[in-house]
Amino acid sequence: MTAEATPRSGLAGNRRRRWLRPPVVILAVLVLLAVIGPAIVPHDPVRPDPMNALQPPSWQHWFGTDNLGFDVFSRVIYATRVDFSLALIAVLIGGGIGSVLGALAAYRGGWLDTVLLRVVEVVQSFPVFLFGIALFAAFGDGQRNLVIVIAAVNLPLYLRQIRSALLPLRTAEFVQAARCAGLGPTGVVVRHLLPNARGQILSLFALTCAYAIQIIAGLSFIGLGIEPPFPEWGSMINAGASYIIQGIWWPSVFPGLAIVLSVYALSGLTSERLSSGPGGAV
Amino acid sequence: MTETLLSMVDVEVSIPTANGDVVPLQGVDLDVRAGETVGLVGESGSGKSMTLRAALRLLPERAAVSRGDVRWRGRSVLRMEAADLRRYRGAEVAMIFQDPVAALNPMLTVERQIVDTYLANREGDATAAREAAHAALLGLDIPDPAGVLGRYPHQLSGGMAQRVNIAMALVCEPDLLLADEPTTGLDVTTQLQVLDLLERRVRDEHAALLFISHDLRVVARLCERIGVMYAGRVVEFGTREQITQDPRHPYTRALLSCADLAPGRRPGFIRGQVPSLTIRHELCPFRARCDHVHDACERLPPPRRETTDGHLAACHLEVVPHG
Amino acid sequence: MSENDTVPSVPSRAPGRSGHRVIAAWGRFLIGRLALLVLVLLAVSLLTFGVTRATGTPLYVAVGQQATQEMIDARAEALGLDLPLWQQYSNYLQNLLRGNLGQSRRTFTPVSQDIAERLPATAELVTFSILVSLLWALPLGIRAARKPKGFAARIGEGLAQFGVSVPGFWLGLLLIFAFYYLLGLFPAPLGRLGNVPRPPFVTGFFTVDALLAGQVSTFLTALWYLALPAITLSFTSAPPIFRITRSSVSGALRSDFVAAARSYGIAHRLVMRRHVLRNAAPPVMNLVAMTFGYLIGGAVLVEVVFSWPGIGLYAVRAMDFSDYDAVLGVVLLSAVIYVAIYFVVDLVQYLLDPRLREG
Repeated sequence: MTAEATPRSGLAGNRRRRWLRPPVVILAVLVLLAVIGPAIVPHDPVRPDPMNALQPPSWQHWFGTDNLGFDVFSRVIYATRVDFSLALIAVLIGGGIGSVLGALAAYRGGWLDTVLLRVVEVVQSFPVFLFGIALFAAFGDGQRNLVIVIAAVNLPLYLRQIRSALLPLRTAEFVQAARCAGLGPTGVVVRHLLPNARGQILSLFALTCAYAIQIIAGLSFIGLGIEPPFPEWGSMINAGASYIIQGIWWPSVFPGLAIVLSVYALSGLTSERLSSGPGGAV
Repeated sequence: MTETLLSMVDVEVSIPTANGDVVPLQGVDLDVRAGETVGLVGESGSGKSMTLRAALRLLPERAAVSRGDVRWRGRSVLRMEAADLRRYRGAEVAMIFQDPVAALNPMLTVERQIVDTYLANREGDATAAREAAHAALLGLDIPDPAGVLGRYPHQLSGGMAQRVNIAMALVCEPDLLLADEPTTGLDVTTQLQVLDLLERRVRDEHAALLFISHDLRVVARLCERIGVMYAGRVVEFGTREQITQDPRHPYTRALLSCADLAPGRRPGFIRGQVPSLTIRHELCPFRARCDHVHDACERLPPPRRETTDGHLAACHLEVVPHG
Repeated sequence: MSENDTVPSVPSRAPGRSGHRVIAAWGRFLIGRLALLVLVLLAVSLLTFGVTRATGTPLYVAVGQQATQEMIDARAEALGLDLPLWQQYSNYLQNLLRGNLGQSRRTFTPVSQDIAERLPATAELVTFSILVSLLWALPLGIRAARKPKGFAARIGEGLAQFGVSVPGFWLGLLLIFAFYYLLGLFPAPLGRLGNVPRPPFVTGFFTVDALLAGQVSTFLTALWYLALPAITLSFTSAPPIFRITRSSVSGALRSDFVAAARSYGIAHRLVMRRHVLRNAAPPVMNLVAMTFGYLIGGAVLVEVVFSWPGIGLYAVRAMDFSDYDAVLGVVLLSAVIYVAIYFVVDLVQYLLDPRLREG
């Protein structure tokens, strides 16, 4: 007559439910829009129509029109591709370089490690937008500089992450045990260390993409980066800024909502949060 | 008959978690009388620390006593109001923790912490508190009390820190001292020193001591009465002589043989593993590892047999055979 | 230090460590930190110097269309561009140390003067926004640490998530729309005081200066104009403060020494003050100081949205005019302020935490 309590688990049910959470669904939709969006927009996002400027949302224009007569809805959809692809490329570049440096720091240790860490510590905390402004001052506008800024911001984050993931390479016992069993350092990395860190690295990836989108939007908002008339959420918000004060809210509000939705979808994928520094986000 | 200070009756502690309840204490009975030394012995996870925490009502977040009662001098500790509880803690019962340096606030000097403890529990002003702190350290054979008082916890060695903790506990003038494996983290020579000190001071202050450890030898040396814990409950309880020379529970027997205290036996080991605490065991939790298990054990919960001289054992067997 | 004291005397206060050893430890620490500070600033100045050389248009712009090689060379010589690079850098550094940041192409006044005029505006905005953040992040963080599933924890985490996900500049616009346009509760984003005359200059903070001059209505007006931008900016700075407070207090609450203090019957309030908060405070204070330093440069977008006349807006306007000296001046100043605060924070931590003084 033993009273056995059954532990509540149900891994099967959990797994299914995980893939249907709101952030995942929203992200799927956004990625879909990024890929096929430009092909299915109802109105041409780059053809101005001054006669129709500043019309409130209607059946014809779901999000209304902006000051140049562009259909806001089409431009918001179109911009999805712009923001997402730029963010992705920049994160991959910065993350890639950062990861390599981090691996080096973890493996070599010593002065290289200390120097890199110190440099990263200070660089990481410097205000992103001023850094962006300085860079643009030096090298002009354009997407290329946008990518450089975001890559530079991401580099320290990935450096630290990979470094902490690979740090056991130097000291941990299980690593030494694996080495005794004949596994080389690459093997140790691939078979033991990376799998352990996989969750964190994926989380970092999702969060840095979200952060990258915000930086792109922010820089474009002040006129750097993507320039009008090319659709981008930040520059759209800028274009609508002087009108929102007069009550014409739709040119600025909808692009902003798109940003919030993207960030929510990306950061909702993880349970970790990316706000350990003084800046938080934008 | 000396007064019973602390009495724990069928105490069960449970912690609700996302995957069901964890039940670290599954029915603990023990009592401590004035001026006596009681030891509690068991493996990690047997519930020793949790028992002390329950006695002070200092359970971790979300843990609660779900059954039974803890009584101090007859009054229920679990039903005390906040003010009474504060008076109970320190002035009546004080505790010494396992990690001596971690039990001290790293930002405050030793003096500050002892003074605070004094002021919270005794009549007197700051000057009296400082004098008491100084005297307390002297009483623990600390050669330079003034120097130690001015130090910060991270500047103290393990042994010194534990003496500071004992001093802090004694400054409250408690009637019962709870010691949670106070010497486990120290090196062997320091262990003996601290144990000696503890024994002496407790005797000098006429305080009772409830001492827990996983080391049966230490407990047997120090304590007049001993309780043996397994899987969240006390499976045997008796005097030092009763436990070491006439163990009535197979687990105690096994522990003794592991500690090399059993008369004339080779050191043994206990096969199997400690059972999970996420299940409330109705039947004997030791039956999976017991050498003398039989069908009564699989059908009925073990009775608490008591002999006339206060020796308790929770086992179906009347006498544990040698073998 | 561990002399055997055979005569048991009662000291009035326990003596600390011997004097000269303490000073030596401090000295080593200070020098180490200062060295780091200098290195960082040198690195930043090198970067900005590189930028000034990379934006090589000045020569042609200065000379104009009819430039002959001779005229260009003469101009180069006048500007010192024919000197070896390291010498140019040395001159550049000397200029910086003298406070000469060049001349703004837009305002035709020295950059350092422009910045000095505008820095108080940014500082005031950042100060008030941090105050607003602390107002909710601290209490909610402490509550959330004590009751992780409680109301405070949920609201706090919700606000934190909101602050991190929503772009600051967009939020500012939304607030303007809601509270100025729709509700008329706050003024239009036209700067710090609208049409009201400024109070006499003391600190540059309109709020403080107004109070010092006894001009209560000016003080209130300044607050009124500060409200929306400060609130907007606080959503950026508050989430990390909330989370650090929560995790720091939570860690302290779970520590052995807090359990020990409670086991001695020490009153709850005293436990919170002396044990929990004192141990939980350093990381939080650290972060608040760093946030201040960060926001001096990081308030750019909010300044743009609210037309707040600070150094951020100045830098953006300079950008539009290709006024590189001005932009670099702002970048350099922000770096200096940030690193200086970093240094002070390190120092304060060292003074407050006895463990760090061991070296």
